[in-house]
Amino acid sequence: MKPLLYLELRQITNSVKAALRTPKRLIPAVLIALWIAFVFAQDTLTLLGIARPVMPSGRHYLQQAIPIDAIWAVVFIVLTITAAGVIYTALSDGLLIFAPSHVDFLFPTPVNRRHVLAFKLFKDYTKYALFSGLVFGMVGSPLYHVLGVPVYPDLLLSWLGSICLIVFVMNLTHTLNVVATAGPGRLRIARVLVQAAIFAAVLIVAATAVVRFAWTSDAIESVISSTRSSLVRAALAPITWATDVILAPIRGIVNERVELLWLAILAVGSTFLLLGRDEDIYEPALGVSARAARVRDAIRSGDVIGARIRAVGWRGRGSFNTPPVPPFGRGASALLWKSIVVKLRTSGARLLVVMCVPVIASVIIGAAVKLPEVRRVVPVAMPYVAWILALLGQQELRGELRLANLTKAMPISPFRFILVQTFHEWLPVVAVTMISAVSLFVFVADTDPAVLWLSAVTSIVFGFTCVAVISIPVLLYPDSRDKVQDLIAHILSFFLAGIALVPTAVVWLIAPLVDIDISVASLAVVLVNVPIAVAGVLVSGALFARFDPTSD
Amino acid sequence: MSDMTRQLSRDWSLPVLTVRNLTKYYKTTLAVDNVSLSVGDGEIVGLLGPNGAGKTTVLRSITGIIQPTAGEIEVDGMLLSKQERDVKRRLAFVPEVPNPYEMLTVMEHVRFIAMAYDTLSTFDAKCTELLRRFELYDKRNDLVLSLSKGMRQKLAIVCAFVHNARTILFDEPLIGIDPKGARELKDMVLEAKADGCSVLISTHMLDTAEHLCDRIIILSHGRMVAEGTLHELQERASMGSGASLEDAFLTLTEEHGAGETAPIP
Repeated sequence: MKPLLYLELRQITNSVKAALRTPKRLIPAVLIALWIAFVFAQDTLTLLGIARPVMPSGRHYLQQAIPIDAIWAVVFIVLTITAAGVIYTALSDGLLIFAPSHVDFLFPTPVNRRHVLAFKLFKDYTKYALFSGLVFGMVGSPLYHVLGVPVYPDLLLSWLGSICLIVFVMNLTHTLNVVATAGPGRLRIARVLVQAAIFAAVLIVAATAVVRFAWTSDAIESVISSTRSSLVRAALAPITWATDVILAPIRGIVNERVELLWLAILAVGSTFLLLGRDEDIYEPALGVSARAARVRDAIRSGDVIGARIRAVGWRGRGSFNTPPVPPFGRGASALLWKSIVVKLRTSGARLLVVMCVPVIASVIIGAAVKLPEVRRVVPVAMPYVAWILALLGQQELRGELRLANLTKAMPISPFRFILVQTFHEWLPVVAVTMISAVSLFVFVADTDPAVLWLSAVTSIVFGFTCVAVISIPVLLYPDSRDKVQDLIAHILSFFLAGIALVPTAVVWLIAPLVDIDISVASLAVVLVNVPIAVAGVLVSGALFARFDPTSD
Repeated sequence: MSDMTRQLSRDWSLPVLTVRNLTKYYKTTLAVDNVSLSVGDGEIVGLLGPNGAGKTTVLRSITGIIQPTAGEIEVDGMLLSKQERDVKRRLAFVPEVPNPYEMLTVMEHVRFIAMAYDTLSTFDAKCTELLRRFELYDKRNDLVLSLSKGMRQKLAIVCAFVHNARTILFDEPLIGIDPKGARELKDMVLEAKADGCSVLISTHMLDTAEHLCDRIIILSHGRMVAEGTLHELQERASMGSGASLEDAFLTLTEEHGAGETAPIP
């Protein structure tokens, strides 16, 4: 254990020293630390009774707007699907990921394998605990201040519950992975057992829902109540306990200590079970560690496309017979075809999930949100979603710039290149907006058609403008490995998106107040955005013309 | 060779490292098929073969990074499967493209390895000497992060020599190293041999193998296709004594080039 402790302590100390010595790293680190300290100071003030919530009865309003059973069912289903997905990875690569340095320099040494594993688990679980603590702290603070949800002890209980569930599921996955991959015969048996368990769980939930549906004739209500049935609660007991404990702050019940105790027993017991196994832990981790390192390196270098391509290689897709979109165009449009094909091949499944989210969200909002005034104005979230998607597109341009030494050598003008890139990043915004609009119209009964139409038009137009203008900071500060450049690029992106946002929001908000026709309002949104988008493309094109692909 | 006398005084028939019937499957792919080899006391053995021949798999099996599907590995009379930690104490391994711990300094990295092998008592003098030889002494307090690819390779070599291993395994040790570093490594390998250390080197550099190794083992498609001194390999390839190792290697591997991967049993 001593060499492992030495290794970790020296690495942590050197990382801190390196951060303190480099202003580029120090400034963002201090800003983030101050922000975290501010949030947790607020939480502590609530513990001491100094701070008071804005809406002391906010939790009551929340429970009125969305029935707690609906929230419980959604969290339960999400946790179940996530846990099943994680456990299923045990049958292929698993999640026991070591650093390449460990493979090269630690694995050949006589350090006890169990010590290596115990140390790895301790490190991983500490990271999960800190990360989830950060999330709970960040979410908990606004929850308290807006809704009056007590941070202590409710949120603490919730946080501990989530850690126990993570530890239990990860231990189960690791154990299954090392046991199953110790021989081909074992893998076959493990596959059959895991698939049977997942199938049984789905079957129990589905069968219970069907029985409930026969009584109530309400599909959503049937799914919600099926998740609370005794059979499902018993079959998926750890998920049930975790959902109870995690939702304790919102539900306002703090009697989940028994559930938390059970989860803690599962977490500790599964850790001992894993550490007690005699199977080899090194070999199952080799492939996944090497692939994870390649993806991590690509992400660190800001190459999101490279990271996705490596992830495709990870899944074992080495060859494709036909492109998902037939070849089209010449020059710049051929570049567009290439970008679409690469995106569909590397992120097809992810895009499909993104497209499904608005439909699922609309169904849930339609069924679970009880206040009609809330349902009516739900479409106003669409431009916000478009803005988020546009910001995500920024990473695509960064990835594309990694190949600028190729694209700049092509006979394509810089403006056309930027236009193609903008169009390519805008396509998901359009698709999500259209799917959201149709889903809200179909599934959310009280949606105001005028608000829906104006929101959809605004999302599409504003989305294009955002994509166009936020190309500028990417081209000005292309090196995402440099944290300061990255931070400045993001701040500039917010500012530039604001140039389009302010006039758009003015038109968008004034239109209903002065009761102008919706088509006139839509035209006004377009007229406000088009000049900004054109300026964005022209400036970005000029910057790309001067962009030096070797200067990164 | 200058140390020919010392070579002759050693008894290579007493192997320090023995690999018996090593077979390794990765899922359903056969990487190594029933390979047996031995390295004698103070002997340098070259492990040659085309890409994908199974050289790295053999070395990783010996170091315990991966576990053989079948077969046994014995070091100094101890079985790896039974006395793993004792066996590992006697081995050192230099990986093909080393990934050292970037957030350690050079000195800390070597110290960590010495701690892992429980040889801290001799660390200070040994480490200083090795770092000087490989021109890393001036960089001893620099983070590994700042080292070039060649320097990282040198660091991996320093780590292999710091704990007085009985057998050293090299996987392509000369890739990325400058000529001076390469010469230093070759000298150190010969010195280690003179001190009774056994060496197994996997390499594509046939001229290096020809001049450095006492014996050559050639792998192809996971199988051992030839083993012996340069003269024996020339005979095996039906070539005269004027033929180089490269000629013999190409002839022998082409003879076995059509070998197919066996299905999983």
